[in-house]
Amino acid sequence: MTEYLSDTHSGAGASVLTSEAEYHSPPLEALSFRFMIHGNEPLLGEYLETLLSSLAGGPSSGGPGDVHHYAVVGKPGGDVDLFRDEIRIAQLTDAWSAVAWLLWDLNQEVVRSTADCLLFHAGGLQSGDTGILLPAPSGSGKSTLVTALVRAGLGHLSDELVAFNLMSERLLPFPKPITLKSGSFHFFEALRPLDAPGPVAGPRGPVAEWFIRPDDIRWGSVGSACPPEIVVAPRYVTGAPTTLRSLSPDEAFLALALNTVNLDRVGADGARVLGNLVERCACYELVMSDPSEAAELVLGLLGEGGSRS
Amino acid sequence: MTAQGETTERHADALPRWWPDADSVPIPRPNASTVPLQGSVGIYDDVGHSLFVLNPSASAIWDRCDGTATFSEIVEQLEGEHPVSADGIRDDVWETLRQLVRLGLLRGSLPGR
Repeated sequence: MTEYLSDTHSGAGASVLTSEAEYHSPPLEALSFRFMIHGNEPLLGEYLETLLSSLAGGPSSGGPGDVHHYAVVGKPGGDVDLFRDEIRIAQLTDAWSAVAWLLWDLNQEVVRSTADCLLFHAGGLQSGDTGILLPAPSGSGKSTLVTALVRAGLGHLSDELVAFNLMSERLLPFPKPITLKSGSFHFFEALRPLDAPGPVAGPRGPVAEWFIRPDDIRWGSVGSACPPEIVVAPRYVTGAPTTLRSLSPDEAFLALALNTVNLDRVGADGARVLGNLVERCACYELVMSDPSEAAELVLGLLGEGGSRS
Repeated sequence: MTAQGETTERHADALPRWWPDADSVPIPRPNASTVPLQGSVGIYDDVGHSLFVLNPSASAIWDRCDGTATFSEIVEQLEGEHPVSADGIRDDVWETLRQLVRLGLLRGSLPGR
């Protein structure tokens, strides 16, 4: 473990000899980003492995290609340094903050490494052969609605980043833990993690978050690739009655386009995909303040062909 | 304006005040990909990485910019389809074409070229 901790505090010069770490995760896979986690604190390592267990054992986990390495290095006094591929990406004051940073960075790397998909800032769910896309900016209630719908029986694809594969024309699962913010805690008290922390120093400032594994909402809830059939753009409005209305084609196009992540890289093909999605999907706006009511409205959209997983 | 007789700048300053006149032919730029949306259109600009959604009126004008129709022909087509509101159509087409040039989605040939 000694070399593992010989951090020079110089970023790229840090020596992270993963073979000497006390903890190594199995290979993990998030869309096309493959990675492992190493660390000098076995308990933290086990926590991360459990938290990210839905990313383990993907079909190409053993295949060729780059594997990236995160290292979570605890230091005397409780500080934690987070490295990716031997470059220090954050210096943190506690382990919870390191977890938040790692999950945030994982999202960034998935976006950076995914070339064959149009990515949406969206929640994603599966019901049989029906994919449901929930495009919306942060703070719109995506994670809250995804949690309610997974609890109600739908398959979990993602609560934040949904990939539409340009070749297969299917939504792909990216089942990292769901991130619930404090405004949603009271809806899901039964999911409160043991030893849930108070506000931690996340990449966007102090925030209280719960990280919830899909399997902790409902065992076996991770969904599989499926064609998108329904688009619901959620909008959380405190105290508002829960309402659902159809979107016109141009409204739906904008709702999708404004929540693409990599349209500039995909280009005109991506624009055509947006048009195809508007044409093939039933598109709605959902105003909500109560996730259970909202989930019932979304479930009501599923036709006879959309059985729950 | 270039020797090839095209408006090439994206900004209004580069547009002659008279453009388009009756014989001007608005031409969609190759970087502009059209996405039909039942009555309106989305346009993705592959150079500026911008996405536009045109309202139905502008979409009807855009749809007629096929690289051969002149300003007058576009106006006549629309007046024929909307005889009740024909009065303002010429002005609307004129202003919309200028706006589409400003956005970098159209270029416009000079008359007679």
